[in-house]
Amino acid sequence: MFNCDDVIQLLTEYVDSELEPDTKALLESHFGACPACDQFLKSFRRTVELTGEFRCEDIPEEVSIRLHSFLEERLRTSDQEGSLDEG
Amino acid sequence: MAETPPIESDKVNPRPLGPLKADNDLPLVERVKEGDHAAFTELVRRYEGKVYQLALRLTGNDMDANDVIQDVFLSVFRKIHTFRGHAAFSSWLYRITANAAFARLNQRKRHAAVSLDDVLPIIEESSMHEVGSEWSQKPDLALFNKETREALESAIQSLPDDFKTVIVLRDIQNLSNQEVAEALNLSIPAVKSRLHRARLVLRRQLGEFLGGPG
Repeated sequence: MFNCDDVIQLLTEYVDSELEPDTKALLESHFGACPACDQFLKSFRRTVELTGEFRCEDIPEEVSIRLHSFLEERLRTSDQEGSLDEG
Repeated sequence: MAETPPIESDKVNPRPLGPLKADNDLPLVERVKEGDHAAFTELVRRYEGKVYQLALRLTGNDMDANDVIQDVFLSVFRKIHTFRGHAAFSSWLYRITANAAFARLNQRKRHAAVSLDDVLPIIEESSMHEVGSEWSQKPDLALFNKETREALESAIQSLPDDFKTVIVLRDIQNLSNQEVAEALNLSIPAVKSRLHRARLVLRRQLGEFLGGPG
């Protein structure tokens, strides 16, 4: 059986579904018998979920335009000078 | 960032056994190596959002993120001939981004980075039997209002760089442990260890913000 300190060490692998079935079953047995660990698990999982809410792959349009303009200028210069090194 | 590898290298720790994902970027990368500017533009369009968001999370401000993405893609164009395909192109790109972001922060002579020793006591003090974990039961609206979002963002920003990078790549950008390991040239156990400790810190700080010791 796990004690509470063992459980805390395994939480990341548990919420990421990376534990072996036997270990997972032991952990879940502990959660069923220990309300404090069960609460800790819920807040731990919620933290991971909330962090994931920041997920975003957008770039502001003006930043993208500035980036492409910058790169086009540098590539054009490199074509004229033959190299981008240390430019 | 003493462990951050040089951007020229895409050598990584040996991959664990398991199926490998095909690197869909390789055809474009090969064209860029041959000097194809259109292929480079396509590669930039494919990744500019992800790179911008990573830079934004790591530097914490728009202005630096803007500069970082310019540095990153210029570096990619200059160094693409050194990319050998030992890791996925995206992992190589994320590593360049992390290096550029931290170089930018160092230029700003930021206050001394928080060390792991500063964070560890918080982790060690974590007890399963603290009261206050009930915050996880609050409704979504209360949990992710503007103030909570800002508190979590601030907690992420205050993590030591090595931990912040792992949290951003793994929990925000949703990369796998293997992809994070490749990007940061770490072993998968090291990624998991940093991820776990960072999550414990964030959970604790969220709990404190939401009205209990967490």
